[in-house]
Amino acid sequence: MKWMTVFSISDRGRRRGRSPGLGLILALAALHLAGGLGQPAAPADTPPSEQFTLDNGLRVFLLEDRAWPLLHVVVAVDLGSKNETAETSGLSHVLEHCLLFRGSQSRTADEISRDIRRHGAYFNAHTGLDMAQFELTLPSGQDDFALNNQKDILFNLKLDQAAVEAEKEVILEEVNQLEDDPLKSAASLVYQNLFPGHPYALPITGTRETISRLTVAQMESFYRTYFVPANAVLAVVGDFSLPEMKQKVVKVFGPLPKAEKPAARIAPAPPLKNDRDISLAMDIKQAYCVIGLPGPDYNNPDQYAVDLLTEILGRGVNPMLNSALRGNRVLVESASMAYQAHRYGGVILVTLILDSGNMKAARGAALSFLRRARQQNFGEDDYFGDEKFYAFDYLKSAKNLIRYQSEKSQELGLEMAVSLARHMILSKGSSGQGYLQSIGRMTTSDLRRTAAKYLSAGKAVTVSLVPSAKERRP
Amino acid sequence: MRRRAAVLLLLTALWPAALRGAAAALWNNKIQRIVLPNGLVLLYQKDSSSAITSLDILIKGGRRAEPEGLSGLAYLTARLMLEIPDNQSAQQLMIQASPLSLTSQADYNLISIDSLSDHLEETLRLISKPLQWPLFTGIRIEAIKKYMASQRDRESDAALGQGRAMQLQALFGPTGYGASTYGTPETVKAIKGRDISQYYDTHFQTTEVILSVVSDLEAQTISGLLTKYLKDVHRRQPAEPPGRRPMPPPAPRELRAEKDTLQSLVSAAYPLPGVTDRSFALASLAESLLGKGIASRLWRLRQEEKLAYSVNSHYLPMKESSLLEAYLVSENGKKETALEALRRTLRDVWEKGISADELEAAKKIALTDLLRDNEAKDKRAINLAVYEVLGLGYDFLERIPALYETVTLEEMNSFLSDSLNPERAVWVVLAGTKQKPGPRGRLGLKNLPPRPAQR
Repeated sequence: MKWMTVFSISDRGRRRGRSPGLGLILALAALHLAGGLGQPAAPADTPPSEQFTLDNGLRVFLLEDRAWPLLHVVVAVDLGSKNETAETSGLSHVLEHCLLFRGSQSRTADEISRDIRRHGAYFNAHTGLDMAQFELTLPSGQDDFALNNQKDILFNLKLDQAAVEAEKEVILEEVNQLEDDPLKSAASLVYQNLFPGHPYALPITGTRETISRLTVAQMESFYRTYFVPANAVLAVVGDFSLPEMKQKVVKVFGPLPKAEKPAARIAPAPPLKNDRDISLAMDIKQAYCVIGLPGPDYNNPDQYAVDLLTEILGRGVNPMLNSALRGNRVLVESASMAYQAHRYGGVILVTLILDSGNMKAARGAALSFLRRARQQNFGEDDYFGDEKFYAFDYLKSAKNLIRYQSEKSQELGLEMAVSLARHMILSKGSSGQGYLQSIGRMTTSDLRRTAAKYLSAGKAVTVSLVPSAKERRP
Repeated sequence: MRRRAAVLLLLTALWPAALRGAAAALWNNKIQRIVLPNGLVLLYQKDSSSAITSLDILIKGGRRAEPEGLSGLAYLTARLMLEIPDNQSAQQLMIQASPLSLTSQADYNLISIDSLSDHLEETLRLISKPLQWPLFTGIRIEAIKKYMASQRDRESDAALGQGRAMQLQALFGPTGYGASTYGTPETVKAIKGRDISQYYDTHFQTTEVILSVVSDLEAQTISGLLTKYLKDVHRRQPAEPPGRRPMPPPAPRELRAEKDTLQSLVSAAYPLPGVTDRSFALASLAESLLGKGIASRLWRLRQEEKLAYSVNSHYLPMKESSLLEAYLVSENGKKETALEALRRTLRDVWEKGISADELEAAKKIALTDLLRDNEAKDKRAINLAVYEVLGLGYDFLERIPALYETVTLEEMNSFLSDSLNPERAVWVVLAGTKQKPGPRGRLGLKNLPPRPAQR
């Protein structure tokens, strides 16, 4: 049972590629990941946490948070559409489904389902460009079941043709659903066109053709290569005793055999050479436009400035983009912006929802605004004398928003566990600075430099979805 | 009554330790009910998990209180209460980085303010002005009416939103429960400034407003700030409320519409009586066993019959008449099979009931959903206020886990037998008409070389 939100002045619910909200948690992660075991302890007011690596290579992060009686266990595997080719597109996603729903060597699919339900667990998984994550949340006090279940489904694969074919049919329904959703369709098309020649261009779900062709042998080969402890991480967050949980993790996951981590041979995403403009008609009443620009990758220090720019231009309370497109002439109903950071590249997404009659003007105005972003004044430091008194400090506002998100993210255990797992998979190491510290150091000059690099100079992919003729308003 | 309380206590004592711990932690910090000097009721719970204060201002009334022919009035009025009067104040609010949101529902409007706790006072200072002295000017009204038209379109762009609107309309049509939050073009056009003023005066007064706060700040600090910044909310002479239109008697029907999509929505909705402690617990458990999580009844339509990717159930508690919905989203070619499978599944539960194991599992899934749904402060603050306005009491959150435990198999099956009677259902088939694309699909591999160049 959920209550429905129908109006929001600011967009506060969107999870992003990077984990900027996790100030405290990433500070902890940085502390542990930089030094490993036995390094300086976390500050006294932070929750107990520990990071360690098992002999078989599985990296583990435990965060004891006893404020709420839930336990969250996330296992993430360094496997996603980045590891696929045009022939194997969608394989990671099909494999994820089969692992979750089609049984293991020790339990049938029915037995797993019944076990999950008997323990009252939320059980889900997601595949992305860089990683596949397997999530389990349940009332605390059920540590043994949670750890054993995740180990069993992930490291005890049983595949047969009939089960795979059954799951493929469900996935084809998911593909249909994606294509019926205007915003998801548009975002998918942006990705496919923003990374030409790179695996990031492959749709995560695959296509009907590639899904249908996938074989059990291909899936088993992928599984043997990537589902090894050294290629996975485990994040456990919630209501447990840290020393006890550590013992249990070692006992449950420790005996998994050691195998070599697969070598990554994927190059960074190449720059986009030309602007791309795609237009489609759908059975919709509103029109949608999604503009994608290449952004910095997960380990690029430019991410901090892009996070702030995203808040200032297209998120937050009354962002600049909204003002620009809803000024003297109201061109859009809403304008928003998001930044997704991946291992080999990033994406800056601008989403416009509008009346189709305004599409051309709004798209042009949005692109023009982005190109001019490097000339904007973002804070008080950009003004002199009395002007300071009237100037609006966008930078201060954005820093506050990120501080708010950082605090907010600490309220949700599963989100913390996923972000920790993601950070362990994607981070190349720590700069020694916490996320919030890096955000705090950013100046308006940094923002203009970064805007010039990513918003003004870069090529863009624009996807416009307009109502089919019969749906257009008179 | 005393006997039920005794059973409840006994069952609580017999719970498995894990669940007892889970439920107990919900009220480690007791929910308090505080009455401010001007009569406003504040529900408060301390939570130090973050330096954030979640404040909700619930205004009783909602769509049910809209006069006939003026649907959309509740939303429009509440939205106007969030219009910051001048540029300088808007900029000051932007600096605070305090997200504001508005929900307009059948029985209430809800304004939610989330704030860094050290920014709460300034946020309250800024937002309290339009709340207490809103400007109902023609320009503002027209701008929001236009926004509502676009939201109405957007709502219908999603099959699920369109399907649910059809169900609510069919079940509760003329009562306000069946109306769209954004009204219709005709009803919104008919709303005048005086209607807005009257709705505001009737509903934004001390007896009609509930404040709900979950915060790391102390109760005294919160009540002090709210006393200071909401002091001009007064007890007024309520305007004459609109005549309540009676709920229509349930009538079975099947509604069909077309949409140019690849998939079809197939759903069934059942009207339930107005919400009470027991009906809330029973309907939540029914929601869990029908469509929540794997191994639910609807899950079989996905896992074994491969009819859908999305299967789900939804309980919408409302004061006078609630709704229980079950649905799946299926490829167009399978829609009739999906409809038949959904009918069969629901009829089976209605006729035969469920087993003791199934009920126990549903209780555990429902408890986990409850914990997950109340983990974040903003959602918990909303729930506290909503439970109060639904007549369940501000402490209902603390009582739900024990309520689940007191539900017996006989009671559950009796509830299912009453509620899932096919005679009462409204069926919606939103049939997709789009042809299945070729194997590479509309979103297929365009502009790609045979294999990635960088491998």
